[in-house]
Amino acid sequence: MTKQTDSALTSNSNSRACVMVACLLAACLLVGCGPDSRLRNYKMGGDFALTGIDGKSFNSRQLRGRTVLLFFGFTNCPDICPATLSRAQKALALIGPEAKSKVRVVFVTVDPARDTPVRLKAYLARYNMPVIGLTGSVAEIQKVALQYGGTFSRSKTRTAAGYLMNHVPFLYLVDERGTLRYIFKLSDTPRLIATLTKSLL
Amino acid sequence: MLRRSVRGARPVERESIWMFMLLVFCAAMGTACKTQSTHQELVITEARVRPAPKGQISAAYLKIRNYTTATDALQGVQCKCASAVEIHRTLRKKFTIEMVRLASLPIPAGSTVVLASGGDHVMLIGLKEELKAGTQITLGLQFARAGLIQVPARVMQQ
Repeated sequence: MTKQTDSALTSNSNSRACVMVACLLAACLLVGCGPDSRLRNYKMGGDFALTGIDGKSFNSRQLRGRTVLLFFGFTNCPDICPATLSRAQKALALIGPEAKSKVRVVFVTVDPARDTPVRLKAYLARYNMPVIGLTGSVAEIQKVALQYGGTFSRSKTRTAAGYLMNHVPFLYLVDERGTLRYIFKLSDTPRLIATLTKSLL
Repeated sequence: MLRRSVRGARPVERESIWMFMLLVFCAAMGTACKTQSTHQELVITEARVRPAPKGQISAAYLKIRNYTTATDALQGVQCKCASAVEIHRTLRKKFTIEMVRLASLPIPAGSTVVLASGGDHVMLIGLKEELKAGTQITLGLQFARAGLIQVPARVMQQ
């Protein structure tokens, strides 16, 4: 009997602890836990001016108030670029409806010679997320890539696709003030992208 | 006493139910994974392609298991869906990723070679039609020893 009571008591205190943890988690979700401790304030990055797919000049200051996921890629990229855009899409879906109004994915082409606005638009239209396509001259785009610590160049490998691009594969998380806060690697999961992005909203 | 014995039997019963379910699951998995194609003991599984619009580019991924005792090599891939098909390797450098075209991909005896995003992959260039998610295409894999192996590949968002 005593044993039973003991075990009942333990299970009772266990469930009490569980309830408390659940309450804390719920409170955390309701109030929001603030920026994730993994986020940093990078000195690199910053504002840039390029051209939108509508042909109008675009300044990154237009993105103030929005959290940005920035990527450098090209439409003839069969693997890494769709994989990254797909991860961003999954992350935005994990964040929920809030992402549609507060987050923008920005895709800067590193192949402006072939990525015409029409091609860029068709390429990005496949993704169900708010995405902005940007282009410019090679020099302009190279400048932006360098600002973010990245680079790109034409690959020497022979291909029926004409040529491919070597490019920086990271996905940059920029906050609503335009500060670079995190650099996602190829191996980072949609869940990590969602968690860190959401903590900035 | 009777109650106790019933109670005593319960965990065993539960265990056997779980064992049975596990067996059923394993059997189902075994059937499901029982290779999309077998050809001279070279087994291709998980062949899949990214959706992409007409005129653009896509990538195919798959697993090749070599059950033979001789090294084989994937020398080329054919697809009616594209004007050219190539095998590429994604190399991760410190600041960039680079793509290198492979003339041939060795499949060592007894090994599994995985073609996956961020690594080796098949590049479908100049799509003749849109690759729509949910549909299926056929890939022809040309091996040095095993010859041509045709496999169905599902078009799916990765």
